[in-house]
Amino acid sequence: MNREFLTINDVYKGFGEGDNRVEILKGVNLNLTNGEFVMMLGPSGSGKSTILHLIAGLTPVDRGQIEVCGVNVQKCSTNKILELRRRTIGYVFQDFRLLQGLTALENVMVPLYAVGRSRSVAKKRAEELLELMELSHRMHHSPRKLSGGEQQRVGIARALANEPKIILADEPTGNLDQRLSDGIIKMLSTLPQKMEVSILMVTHNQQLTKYATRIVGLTDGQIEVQSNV
Amino acid sequence: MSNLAFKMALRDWKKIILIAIVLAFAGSMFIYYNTVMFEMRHFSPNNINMEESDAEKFRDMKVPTTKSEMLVAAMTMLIVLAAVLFQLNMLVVDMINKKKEYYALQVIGVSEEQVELFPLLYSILAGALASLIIAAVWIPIFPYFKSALNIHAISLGLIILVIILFFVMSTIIGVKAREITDYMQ
Repeated sequence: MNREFLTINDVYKGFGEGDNRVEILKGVNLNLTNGEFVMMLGPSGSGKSTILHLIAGLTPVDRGQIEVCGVNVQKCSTNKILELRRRTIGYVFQDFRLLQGLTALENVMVPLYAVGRSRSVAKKRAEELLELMELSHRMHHSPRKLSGGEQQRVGIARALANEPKIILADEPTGNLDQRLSDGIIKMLSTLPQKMEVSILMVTHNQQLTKYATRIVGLTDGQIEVQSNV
Repeated sequence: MSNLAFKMALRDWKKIILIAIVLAFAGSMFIYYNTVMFEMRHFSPNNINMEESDAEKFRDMKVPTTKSEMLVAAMTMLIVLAAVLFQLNMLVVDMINKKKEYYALQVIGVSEEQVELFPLLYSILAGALASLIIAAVWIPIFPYFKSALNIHAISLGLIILVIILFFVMSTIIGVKAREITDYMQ
C-alpha cells in the first residue's frame, strides 16, 4: 500500500524585502509516497535546494503547508523539528560535509549519538551501514583520505543511520565525475527496495534520471513537469 | 557525543599544544614579574610590612616607583591578553573553517548544545594543558624560586590564581567563540 511520506501543498517562499524581494517558489505542490525515488530537475537558482530546506524545517515557508509523515512542519516547535530531522529525515549534502577530525565510522555514529544510542549500539549500526555502502575496509579512515565517491557513500550512510522515512539529497553528485555519479545514484536507487525509505533528490544532471521512479521539473518557482519513468 | 568531540579535539593536538605553550609562556611572565613586584612593594625597606629578615634582602635594592610598577603590571597583563586573544583567534578561525560541517550537524538533527561541545572541548583542552604546564613548571620550582629571590610564600597564590584563571577563561572562550564567530561574519 502506498503511504504518503511527504506532502507539499501550495508552498510559497521568497527572500529579501521591498524592491529587492525575489519570489523563489510560487505555489509548489508535490507528494512523495513510500519507496519512491523522485528526482527534481531545474536550472540553478530555481529553488530546488530551497524546497529541501523547507522540508527539513531549516527555513520557514511564507505560505502553504508541508507535511512530513503526517507532521505539519510549520506548526512544529524547535525540538519537534529537531526530532523530525533526527529520526524521519536523512540529509545528503553536495559537498559531503563530514567532520574531518573523525573517522568514517565515527561520522556515521554522530546521528546515532544524537538520538541517545549507546556507543556499542551506535558502532554496530554504523558498521552495518558502512558494509552496505561497501566501505567496510575504509571505516577507520579519515574523510580526507577517502575519494569523493567514498565520502559521499559515508554521507549516505550517515543519512540512513536512524532509519529515516525520507532521504533529501541536495545535488549529491555535484562534486563527482560522471562515472562516480552513476555509481552513487545506482546505489541510492536500490535503497527504497532495501529499506522503507523514499528519496527526493535535486539535480541538474539529466543523465541521472534513468534511475528515478519519477521526475519532476521545477521552473520559474513551480513544478511544471511530472513524469513517471 | 562528548566522547566524539573529545576524540576530535585530541586529533587536533598540534594546535592545542601551540595554544597551550603560548598561554603557559604568558602566564609564566605574569607570575614572574608580578611576584617580584609584589615582593618589592610589600616587603621593601620603606614598607611597615617589612620583617626583620627582609631588611638585608632589600638593602641595596631600589624600590620601584608607582609608575614602573604600573608599567610592569600593565605589560604582563597585555602579554596575557595577547595570549588569550591568540587562543580566541585560533578557535574562531577553526570554527569558521568548520562552519559548514557544524551546520551539517544541525541539519542532521544534532542539537545546538551538542554542536557547541566540539569547539568547547578544543578550547578546554588547550586551557587545561596550559594550566598543567604552569603547574608542572612553577609548583616544583617554587621553593627554589622562593629562596633564589628571597620571596615570601604568599606569591604561591599568584601561581594558583593564574592556573585557575586560564582554565576558566578557556571555558568561557569556548562557550562564547560561536557567538563571536557569528558576530564576526
